[in-house]
Amino acid sequence: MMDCGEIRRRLPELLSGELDAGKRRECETHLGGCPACAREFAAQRETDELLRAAVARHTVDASAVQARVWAQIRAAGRERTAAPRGKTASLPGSGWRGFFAAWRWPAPLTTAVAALVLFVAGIYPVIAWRQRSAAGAVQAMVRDHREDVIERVKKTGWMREEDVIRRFAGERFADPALPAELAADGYRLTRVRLSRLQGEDYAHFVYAVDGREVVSFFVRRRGLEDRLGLARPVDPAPGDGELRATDFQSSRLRIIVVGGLPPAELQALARAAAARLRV
Amino acid sequence: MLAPTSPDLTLSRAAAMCPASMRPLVNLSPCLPSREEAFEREMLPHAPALLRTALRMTAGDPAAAEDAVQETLLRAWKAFAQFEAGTNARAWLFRILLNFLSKQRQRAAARPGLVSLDEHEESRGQPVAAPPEPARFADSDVFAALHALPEEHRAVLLLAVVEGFTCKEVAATLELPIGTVMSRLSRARVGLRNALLAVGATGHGEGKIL
Repeated sequence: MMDCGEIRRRLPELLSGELDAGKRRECETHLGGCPACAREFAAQRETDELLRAAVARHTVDASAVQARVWAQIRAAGRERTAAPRGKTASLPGSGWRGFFAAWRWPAPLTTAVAALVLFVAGIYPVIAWRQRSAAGAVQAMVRDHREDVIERVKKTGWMREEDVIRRFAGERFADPALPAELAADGYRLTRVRLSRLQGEDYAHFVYAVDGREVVSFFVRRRGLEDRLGLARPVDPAPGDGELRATDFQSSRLRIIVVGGLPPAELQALARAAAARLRV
Repeated sequence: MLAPTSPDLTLSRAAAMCPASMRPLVNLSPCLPSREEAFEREMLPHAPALLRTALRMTAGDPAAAEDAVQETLLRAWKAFAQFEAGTNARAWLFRILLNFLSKQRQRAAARPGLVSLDEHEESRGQPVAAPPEPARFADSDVFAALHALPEEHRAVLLLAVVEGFTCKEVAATLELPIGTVMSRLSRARVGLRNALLAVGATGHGEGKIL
């Protein structure tokens, strides 16, 4: 039986959701019978919420930093590849400084060059980076689905036993029943693997219908960006190709559904799972 | 600004370019990812999280925060060869960032004539039960209370509460024993709570207990 001291010591783990089910139950039992500890727990949880909400309301824009870093990395790469070409003969007054000093630039040309430099150094990397990172995650999921479910490329790390999966879901999402809850009628979970895509860990749940694996759910805990509504639900792409994706989110999770089903069916699966998660 | 790219558009485009029958076995991309691309994919997406943490660690100084994140990412790039794919990139980046900020502050503190304002109001001893009254605080009050916490308390709080690290992950990131992380977290939460209640009690700013 845990005493108050032990409970207070374990509050951080209880708040971060990393206690195993047994320990969590013990804590909850204690909190149920000890008003002082329950008050402390509620106060700390409320403080966390205040902090989280305050930070979430103050969005940051990292695109300028990302673009600067990206430009520096690219510039270093270019220098590396350019360096082995050896020395070029230099005329008196050559080099950038000489070039600028010797040439009287007409004003409109200067402006145009400045604009071009600004675009290439500043704006273009931002555009390129944003497009790539937005596209990359879903593309990576489609690739995973194709490799894992259609081509059945052998990979390590699959979990198949029900109790292993329940434990995994409990540790990762604080909800051992989550994989089962996501399954629509007639669908059955066959295996789970942790997949690293675009720097984020997604749990890849594979579901089968009539014994055939057909659909993947990629699930991660929602980040602050998602909470701010930057990830909007998207409709399945019409027509092209046989694999489609759609996404949705609950208050805690962001989920992308990938499969070779007709768009309406894929979306119905996502809607059904979303409805069950809200309950 | 720029409209976010709909992932589905890209997906449909990729699928259209590459019909199922002739799709490559493993990779959708035309060539193997270079080191630059691997870095872009693995590390750059963490920049927003690094920036919001840096902003709170520098007590809301955007220029200093951006510099710290840029320095972090460039250091990560230089050491990227040592980074093992599949290990926790986020934890690695946060470690670089927090080490950098901590060293920077030590240097600033060592400089004569500069007084750090963030060293006060540490609440020591056992956590005290603060009543969970329904309270509403202005974000500026929350940030003022946060910025008043000692640096090491602020760091564990931001990682655990805002970035969603588990205690184990915080311990691994900061290379601290887990017991230290847990006691710092408790003290940080109590410190933040008390600082907020003090603000509410004096009726300073918009922070009122309703």
